[in-house]
Amino acid sequence: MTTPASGPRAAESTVALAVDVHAEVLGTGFRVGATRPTTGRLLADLLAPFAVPAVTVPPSRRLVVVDGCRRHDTASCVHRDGAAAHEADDAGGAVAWVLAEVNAVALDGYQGFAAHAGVVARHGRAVAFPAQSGGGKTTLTAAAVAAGFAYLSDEALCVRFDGGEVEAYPRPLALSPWSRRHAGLDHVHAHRLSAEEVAVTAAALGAWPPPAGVRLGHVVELVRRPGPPALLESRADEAMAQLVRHSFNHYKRPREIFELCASLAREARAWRLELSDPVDAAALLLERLGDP
Amino acid sequence: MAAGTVGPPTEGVVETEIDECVALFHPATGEAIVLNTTASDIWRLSDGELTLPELTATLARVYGVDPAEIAGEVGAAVERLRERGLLADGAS
Repeated sequence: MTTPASGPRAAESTVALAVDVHAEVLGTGFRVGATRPTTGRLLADLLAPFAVPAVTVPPSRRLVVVDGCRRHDTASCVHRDGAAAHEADDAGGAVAWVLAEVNAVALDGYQGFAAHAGVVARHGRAVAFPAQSGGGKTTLTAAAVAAGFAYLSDEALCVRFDGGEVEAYPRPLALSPWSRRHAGLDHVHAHRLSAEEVAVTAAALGAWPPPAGVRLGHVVELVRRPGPPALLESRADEAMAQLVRHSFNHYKRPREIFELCASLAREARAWRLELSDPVDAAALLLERLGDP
Repeated sequence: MAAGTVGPPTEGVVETEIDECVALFHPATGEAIVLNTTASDIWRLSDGELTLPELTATLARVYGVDPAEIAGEVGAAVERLRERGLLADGAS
C-alpha cells in the first residue's frame, strides 16, 4: 500500500529543506531541519555545539520547522518524526519549541546523572547552581561566564557514572531582556526568539569550546534576598540534598545516583550564595572560587 | 525487635554518612533523603531496641536537655521515617 498523498507525513516528505542539521546531544541523536533559509541558519547556529558530520547514534527525533504552514505567512509549525507537533506564531516560537524538545529528549535519554543546575567551571573545577526554573541560574550562569568562568550549561549538571567527570551541555542560554541586561550581556550578539526571550550561544559569549576533564568542585545553593552578595560555607549533606532534590533522572538508576550524589557531595565544597544582583554575585564567585 | 520499639531499619535500606549526617536510599521506592543532624541521631538509635520514650530520653541525655523539650520533635521525626517506609517497626 502506498503512502497517502495527503496528511502531515506526506506534507513533510514533499517539502524542500533549506538546512538539515545532524546533532548529538548528551548521547541522543537528532536531525533538525527547516524549510526557510533564515530559520535554518538560526537552528544551525543554536545547535552548532552539538553538530556532527553524521549522526553517530540513530536519531531519536526528526524535527522540521515548516514556515508559512497556516493561512498567514508568518506562522511556522514543527513536524516531529513526520507528524505535525506544534504551531507557532512565527519562526522564533517554532525554534524555541524545537530547542525545548531537544532539551527534554536529550536529558531523558542521558545515561549519566543529570540535575537541574547552571554550571560553570574554572581551572578544571565545576561550580554548579542547582535550582528550579525561574530560580535565577541562567542569569547567574551568564554573568559568571561574562566574569571569566567557562560555560558548561545553563540547564543541567551532567555527570558520568564511569569516572564522575562533569560533561558539558552548552545549550544556548535562554534569557529574558531583563536577564540579558542584568547579566551584563547587552553587547553580546543574541538571537531574538520572542518578545520575552533571546538565545545567546556559547560562541557569542566567547566560551567555546568548553573545557574537558572537569570534576565537580562546588555546589552552590542560591538564595535571593536584597543587598550585597554573600557566599557562606555550607555542609556536604546539604550539597547532597541539593543534588538529589534537583535530579532529572534519579528514578532511572536510583541506587547508582544515590551513591554518585554522596560521592560528589564528599568531593565538592558546599556553599550558600545570597544574592540580588547577578553581576555582583558572579564577581564574588570569581574572587572566592576562581583560584585553583 | 520488640513491640513498641522504634525500628529497626527496613531491610534493604541503604545508608551512608555525609558530614556526620545520614543519607538514606530506599530501593523499593527509589527515594533518597538526607537527614539533618537530629534526625540522623534518631536514625542511629532506631535499631529496634528502644521504645520511643527510651529513645527520647537517650537523646536528651546526649544533648543535655529535658526529654519533654524534644519529645515532640523526636516523635514527629520517627513518624516521618515510618511514613516513608524506612523503619520496620515494632510500634503497636
